[in-house]
Amino acid sequence: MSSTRSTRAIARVAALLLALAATPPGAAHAGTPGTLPQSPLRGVPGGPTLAEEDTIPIPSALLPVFVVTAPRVSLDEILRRVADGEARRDSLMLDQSYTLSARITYLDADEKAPTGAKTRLDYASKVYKKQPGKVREIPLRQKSDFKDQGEGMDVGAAPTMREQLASFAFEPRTRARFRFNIDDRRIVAGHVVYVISFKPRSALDGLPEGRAWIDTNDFVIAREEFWYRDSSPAPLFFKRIDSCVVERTKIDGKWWVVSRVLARIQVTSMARFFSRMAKEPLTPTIDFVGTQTDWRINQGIDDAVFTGGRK
Amino acid sequence: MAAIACALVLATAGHAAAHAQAPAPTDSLGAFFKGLSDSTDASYGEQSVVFDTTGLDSLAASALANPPHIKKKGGALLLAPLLGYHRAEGTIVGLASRVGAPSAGWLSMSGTYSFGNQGGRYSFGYRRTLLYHGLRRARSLAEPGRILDGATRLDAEIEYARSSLQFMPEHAGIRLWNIEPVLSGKGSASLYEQRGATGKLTFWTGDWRLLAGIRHEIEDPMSIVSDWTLLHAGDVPPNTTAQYDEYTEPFGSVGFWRGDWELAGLVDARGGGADRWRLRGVLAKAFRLGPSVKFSMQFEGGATAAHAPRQRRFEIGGDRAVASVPLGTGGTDHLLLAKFEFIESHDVLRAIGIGHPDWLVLQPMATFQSGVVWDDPAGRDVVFSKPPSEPWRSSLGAGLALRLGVPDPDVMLRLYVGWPVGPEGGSTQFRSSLSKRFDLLGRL
Repeated sequence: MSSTRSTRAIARVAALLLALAATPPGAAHAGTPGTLPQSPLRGVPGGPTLAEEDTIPIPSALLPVFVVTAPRVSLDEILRRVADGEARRDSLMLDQSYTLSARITYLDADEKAPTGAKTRLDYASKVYKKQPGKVREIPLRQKSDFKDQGEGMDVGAAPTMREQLASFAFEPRTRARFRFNIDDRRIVAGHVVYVISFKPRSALDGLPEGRAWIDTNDFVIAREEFWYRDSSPAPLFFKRIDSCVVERTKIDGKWWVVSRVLARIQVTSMARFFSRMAKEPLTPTIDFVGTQTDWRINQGIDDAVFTGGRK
Repeated sequence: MAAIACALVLATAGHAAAHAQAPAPTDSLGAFFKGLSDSTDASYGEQSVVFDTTGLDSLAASALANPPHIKKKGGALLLAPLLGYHRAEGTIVGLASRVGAPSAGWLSMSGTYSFGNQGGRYSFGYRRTLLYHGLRRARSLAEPGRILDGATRLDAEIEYARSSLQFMPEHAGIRLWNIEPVLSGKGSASLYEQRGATGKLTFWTGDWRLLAGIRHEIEDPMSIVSDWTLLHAGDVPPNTTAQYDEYTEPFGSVGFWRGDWELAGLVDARGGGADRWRLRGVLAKAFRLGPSVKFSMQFEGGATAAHAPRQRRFEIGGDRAVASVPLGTGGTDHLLLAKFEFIESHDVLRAIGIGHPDWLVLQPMATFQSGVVWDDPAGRDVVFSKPPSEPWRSSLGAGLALRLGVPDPDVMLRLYVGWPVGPEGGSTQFRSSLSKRFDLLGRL
């Protein structure tokens, strides 16, 4: 039983990564459909914003000093605006469709170059979503050699536009549990992109460390990486989660959406022992990669699309 | 037209120059993130990131008109073995299973046979989710509900069961898959038999859980059938005798859990008439003490009818209550309990240089519990009764915690020694418990 559970737990975590990309609707949405972002801040609404960069590491080499005067906002203000920007992004999406692809690869890449890679699941589906709470997922393809492809192998989409996998550390409810730092600032094509790192305030909270790339024009998270390298969320089964990467792409020049999720998980010797007993052996490393492509947003999906699927 | 274009370019260049050190083409942002993506591809390797998309476009284009039919292997029936041992049942073996689908509901069945008293225990349950908003996956509905930020859910459940129940179940450990009764039996609660049907509705919304139901039950005492244990053969604790009872009662509870505040509360109420009512409340809160220590506290209070059957009354001993006091201590109509716990995050075995398996991360913990159980001096059926000042029982504990992380992130195995504090503190006891951080709350 435990062996089956360990295998299923691994599969569930992988499946959750995609499902979490759109977890339950919760906090009240800021912003109103059809309105421009209104900011009480200094700076240009919808334009780049500079923060007080007092946490950026100072180079050790001596450099010439230039005094620059420009309106700056605090890191707290940046974080607040990210939460608002994410909520605004969610609220303006009325419907969306995309093609979801997911792959689980078993391999051995525990502190060494990957070897023995074997694809265990290759899955694709077409997903339609519409506010409020409608979703239809049509599986297009599934190749898997898992013995159990029942509920534990569910790679499902949630009926929400919220992408909590990217925004979890910045949400109002969780923000106080992390310590944030500005690691870097890049100015690219009129966009100020901050790299903000986050670390749980308590090592006992079971939360990951990570960093996010924030585009201050839209105050959305354009990319995020997080990991459990020093402490595992489930020590019995996962030795480490080396890396989770969430990549977003801008669609139609205004919608930031998750385009790819990657995770590399190192499993424990106990999980591998039980999996061998269940004749579904795990390798030391499991890679999960999911992509969301062919995005269509606010195209006016007919309600009839959802009558044939899950609501 | 060209002039307008030039003006736009100049305006854009000027705007960019105000903010950028080096003006870049408009697609530079995409190129910047593409560069990071390429770096990710390289670190994961081609074997993981390259998808075979042959034919996917045409499948996607015709998905609505001709949805492909995909067969899935297995997954229909899951059988879980049940094993246990108890002085009132002997060796216990059995199976549990759950089948169903989100649209049809879930049927769960379990059956065990106890070789000691040659008795069977069984349950048949049906659960259906009537309302759900939130993470919408088959898995969400397959599992029993719990408080989840942003999720609203209404479940209806009915069950018929013949079971062995533990006295003071809120303080008792698990009955099956528990090694303690095999070792000594001193840490396992007494049992009684219950047969009957239950129907209930549970509603989760935001940070709240509301539960209401009705049950009809018949309860019988059980007696010791085996005095064998690995360490203390012939010296097992008595099995407290339950009173025969048959009743129909409404019951309900209100639970609250907010993860970011690490604050939880629960009020449980049972009806059953003037001689059976029972009320219990728990308040729990955790605090962060620096980056590596967490302090949690739990307060519990309970009251029941002055003439309530023994199996409804309150006890104070055990690994979830006052650790140095034996299980079965009490049997009164009122309870007050306070528990405090410190856990530190470092891996003890690594810190002292002992090699260990990667999953065996033991963290140091310390605990203090103090509580009292008493009967109202005037024998009144009251919720509030002043506790006596003398017989408070306290225990100080120290040990190790192994965080399992499954099935919930804060589930841990605690192994510790409880020492008595004060004259009513009992005796030194080794304790083990498998539970969440707030172990008096149960699943919310």
